Amino acid sequence: MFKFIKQKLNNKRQEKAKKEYLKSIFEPRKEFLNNSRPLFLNEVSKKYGASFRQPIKINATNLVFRYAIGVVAMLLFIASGASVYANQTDVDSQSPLYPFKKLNENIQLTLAPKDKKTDLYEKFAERRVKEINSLVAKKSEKNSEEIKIRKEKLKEDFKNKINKIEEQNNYSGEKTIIVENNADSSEQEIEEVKNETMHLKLCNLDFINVENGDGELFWKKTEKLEKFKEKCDRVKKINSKQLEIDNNKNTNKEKNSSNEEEIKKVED
Amino acid sequence: MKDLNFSNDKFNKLAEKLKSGDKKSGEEIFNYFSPLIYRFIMARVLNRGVAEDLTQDVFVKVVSKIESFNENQGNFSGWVWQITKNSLIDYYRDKKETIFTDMPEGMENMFKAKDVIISRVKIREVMETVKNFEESDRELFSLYYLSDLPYKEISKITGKTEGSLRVAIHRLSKKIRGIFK
Repeated sequence: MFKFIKQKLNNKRQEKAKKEYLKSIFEPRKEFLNNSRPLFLNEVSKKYGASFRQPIKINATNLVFRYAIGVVAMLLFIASGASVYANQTDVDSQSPLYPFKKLNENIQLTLAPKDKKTDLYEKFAERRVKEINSLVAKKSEKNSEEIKIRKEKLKEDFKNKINKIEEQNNYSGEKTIIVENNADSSEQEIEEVKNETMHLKLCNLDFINVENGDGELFWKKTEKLEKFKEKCDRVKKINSKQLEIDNNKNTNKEKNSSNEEEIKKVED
Repeated sequence: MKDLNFSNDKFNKLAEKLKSGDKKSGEEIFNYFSPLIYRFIMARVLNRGVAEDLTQDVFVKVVSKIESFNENQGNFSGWVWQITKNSLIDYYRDKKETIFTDMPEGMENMFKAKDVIISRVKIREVMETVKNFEESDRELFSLYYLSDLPYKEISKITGKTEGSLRVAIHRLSKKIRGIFK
C-alpha cells in the first residue's frame, strides 16, 4: 500500500517535471511579453480612450447608505433654513412653516442654559397668545371648527410653557390664571379684568393683554407679579398722579370755560 | 496550478472590468494568458515569429470582442481559448500549411528548466516530435503540457469528455516518452 502511494506521488512529480521541461522549451521570450503588454494596453486605451474612470469600490449597501446620508443632510439643511426663517418672521399657526418655528423653539429650549430657559418659556408663551389672537381674528363661519382645534392646541402648548416656567422657578401657591373672554362674558367683566391689569401692563410684567375680539386671552402670573409689586405701586402712583393732573386740568378747563361763559353773560 | 489562484469567477470579474476599459484588469488578463496562449500556438505552428504574431492577434481580438463575452454563456477562460483556436484556424486557412523554421541562433540560451540549459539539439528534437503529432494530439499536447490546464478546462475547450481526455493524454505521454530519455 505504502509502495503504491509512493509510486503515485513519484509519477505525479515526474509528470510535473515533464510539464515544466516542455513549458520551458515553448516559453515566450521575455522581450516579446514586455513589448506586447503595452501594445495590448494601448489597444484598450484606443478603444476606451479617456472615457474610462477607475470605478470607486462601492457595494449596494454603501450606495444606499451614501444616498441616505445625502438625503438626510439635504433635509437637515432645508429644515434648519426654514426653521430660522419661520422663527425670525414669527409666522402664524396657519403657515406651512409653523412646524419649523416650533422646531426652532424646541432646539433653542434644548440648547439654552438653565438660567435662560425661563425667559425663553415666557417668550414662547407670549407667542402662543399672539398666535391665538391672530387665529381668532381670522375666524370665519367656514373655518370655525378648524380654528377651534388649532386654538385648543395652542392653548395647550401655552399652558405647558407656563407650567415649565413654574417648574423652573419652583413657584408655589397660586397658579397661572388664564382668563378667557367668551361669548357669555359681559362687557363689564371684560372691563374689570382690563382695569385690573392695565397698570401691570405698564409695568411690563408677566402679563399679556390682547386686543378686543372674540376669544380674547389674558394671562397673569400672580406669583411673579408680587416680585414687582413695588415697581407696580410706583407706576400706579405715577398713573394716579397723572390722572390727578389730568383731572385738575379738566377741572381747570371746566372752570375756565364756566368763567368764560360768565364773562360772556356779563358782556351780553 | 495557476487555475487554483485564478478562478473562473475572478476571470469573469476581470472581463467585466475590461469591458469598461479598466487597464489594470487588462494587464492581469494579459499576464496570465499570454504565456499560455503563446505556448499553445507555438506548439501548433512551431514557429516563434508566427506564434508571437498570433498571440498578439489573439489579445487584439480579446479587446475588440470583449463586449460579446457573456458570462452566462460560459466562462472567460473558455472564451479566450475559443478566440485562440479560431485565430489558429484563420491562420491555417490563410497559409494552408504550417511552416516549420529552424530555431534562431542563440535561442537555446533562452530556454532554461531548473537551471539546466536545454541544448539546441534537444529543442529541435522536441519540435520534430510535436511536428509529427496529429492535429488533435498537438492541441492536447499544448493544452495539457504547455498551458497546464486541468482536464475540466481542456474538456470545455475541446468538447471531449474528461474520461476520453485521460485516455488520450495517456497515449500522448507514451509518444513523448522518447523526449525525456
